[in-house]
Amino acid sequence: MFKIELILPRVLKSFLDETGAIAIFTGRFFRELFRPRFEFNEMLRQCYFIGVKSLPLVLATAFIMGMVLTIQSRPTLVSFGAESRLPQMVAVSLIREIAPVITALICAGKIGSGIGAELGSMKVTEQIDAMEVSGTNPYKYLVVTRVVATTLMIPLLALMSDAVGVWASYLGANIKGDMSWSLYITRAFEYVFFADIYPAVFKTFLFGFAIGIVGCYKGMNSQKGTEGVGQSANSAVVVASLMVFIIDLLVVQITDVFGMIN
Amino acid sequence: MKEKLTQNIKVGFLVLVGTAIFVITLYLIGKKDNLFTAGFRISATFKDVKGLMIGNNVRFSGINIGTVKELIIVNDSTVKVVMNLQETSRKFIRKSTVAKIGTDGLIGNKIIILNSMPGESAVVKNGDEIDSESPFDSDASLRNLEDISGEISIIAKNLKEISDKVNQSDVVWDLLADSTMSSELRSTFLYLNQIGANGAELTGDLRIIAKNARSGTGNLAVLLNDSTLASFSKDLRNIMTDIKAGKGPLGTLISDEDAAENIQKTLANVKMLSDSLAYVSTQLTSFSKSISSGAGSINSTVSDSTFINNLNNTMLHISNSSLKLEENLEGLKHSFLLKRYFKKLEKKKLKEINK
Repeated sequence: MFKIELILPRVLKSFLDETGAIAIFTGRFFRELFRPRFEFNEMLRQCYFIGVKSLPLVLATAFIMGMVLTIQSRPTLVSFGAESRLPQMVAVSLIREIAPVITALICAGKIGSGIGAELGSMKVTEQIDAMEVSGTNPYKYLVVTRVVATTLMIPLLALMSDAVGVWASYLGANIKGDMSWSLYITRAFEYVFFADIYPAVFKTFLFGFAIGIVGCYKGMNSQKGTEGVGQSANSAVVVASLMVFIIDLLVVQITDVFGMIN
Repeated sequence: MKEKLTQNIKVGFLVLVGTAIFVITLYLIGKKDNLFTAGFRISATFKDVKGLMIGNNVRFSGINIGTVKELIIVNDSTVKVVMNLQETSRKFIRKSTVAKIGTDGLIGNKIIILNSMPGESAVVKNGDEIDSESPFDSDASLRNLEDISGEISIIAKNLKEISDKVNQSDVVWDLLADSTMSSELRSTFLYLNQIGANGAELTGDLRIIAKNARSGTGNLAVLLNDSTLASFSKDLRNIMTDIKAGKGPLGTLISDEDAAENIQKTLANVKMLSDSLAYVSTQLTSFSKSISSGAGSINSTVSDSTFINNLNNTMLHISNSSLKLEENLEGLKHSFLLKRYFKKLEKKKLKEINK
């Protein structure tokens, strides 16, 4: 009998094994998602930890990114005599790309590692097995609630990140320039279209989903005791960050195919 | 339980704020694209839209009043651009309005510029098509600019040569340094101004005169309307006709070849006479000069005041002497020696008179 694993290199075999396992894990997530009963309270608790607890870090990062982007771009635009284009450039950059991706990366670091470590420690301490024994579905209680929470919270965090980033950009533009808030907002949205907003928001749902799935998968498959918990947390961050960039690339390509990038 | 409630409130707040930001963003974009305001559509056809895209702004008097809604290729040389405009701007958009494709700044997006044309025209209706103007061809302009820059380079070279020549010439610098010249120039311009003003005044007067003449008032009008002048003019025309035909003394004079020859001879004689007179005049002038400036006796006679005084005294003495001589002769008439002789003379005179 032909066995494909015998002819594949070890790295590729490991990669495909991991990919397949994540796909099966995702499939199980969807099965559990639509099966009653839904753990709403646990989901809200996770929303609190994922959304509210991450908010200060995300907003601080967005503020810094907006201001730095403005201060860095201003001299170049001034040299081209296009200083008035600063709000448009910063707003389009933030809304289309920077705010969603930076927010996702922050969340991949904070939330992905948190979920991986939490579920990993539950796994190695056999709490998950205990839940199964007691009749509670651990996938439903632990995985579905967390993945739904990340999927819902990261778009909200990215939108807040957009708002704070544009505001910080306004402050950054007024360090050396002089522009009113109303003029800044009018100019900022002059070149922002629905075709910028919809893909940007859509991809944050995918980012959140990927971070939740990867974090939960790594945690649920944690091994080798406490050492494995650390590995789960670490690999959850790495894989989730990589997934964010891959999803970003795919969404940009799809958006381009549909003619939404002009 | 209380902690759980607090957590839920915080999550709810986060969801509300995030959703509000999303809605506000959508509203700002929609407002920009006139999605929430009542609008109407008009269209214009172009040969080339120069990269215009759906969503580009439409401007009227520098204000964004709408966006490009649709681009339809009608045929191989016509593109129809459908614009969605704000209802509030409808009253300003006339059917005579012309659409033109421009650029927002030097490197900005393409926009449609609506220019209103002078004259009365009806307000546009939904679906109307307005006229269009060919967009600015930057390539052609750059080509023109290249030609112009070549010509400017030649002009600059010529100017440099002129400038070098001016720098080498002392005359120009002397002229420039001459302070009187500037004041003269200023006064010349002042005179020119005055001439201009007088000219304007004269034109005004002429206009009044022409007006009066047209209305039949004033001497000119009388002159123009005078029938005798007309008949005089007619007579003059007849005389001229006769002269041309060689009739009458003047006509004969002009047309007769012998008379012309005689006139020519006469004129030649007159010329000779004139030359002689000129010669004589020259001689007299030189003579008078030699008298006034020469050292001869005539000059000394004319210019020496002592001599003139002496001459005057002499003439006075002669006058006095002649008076005295007359008295003496009168005395001699009555003397016994000559009395007889004078009586004889008187008798002879009387005889001649009687004869």
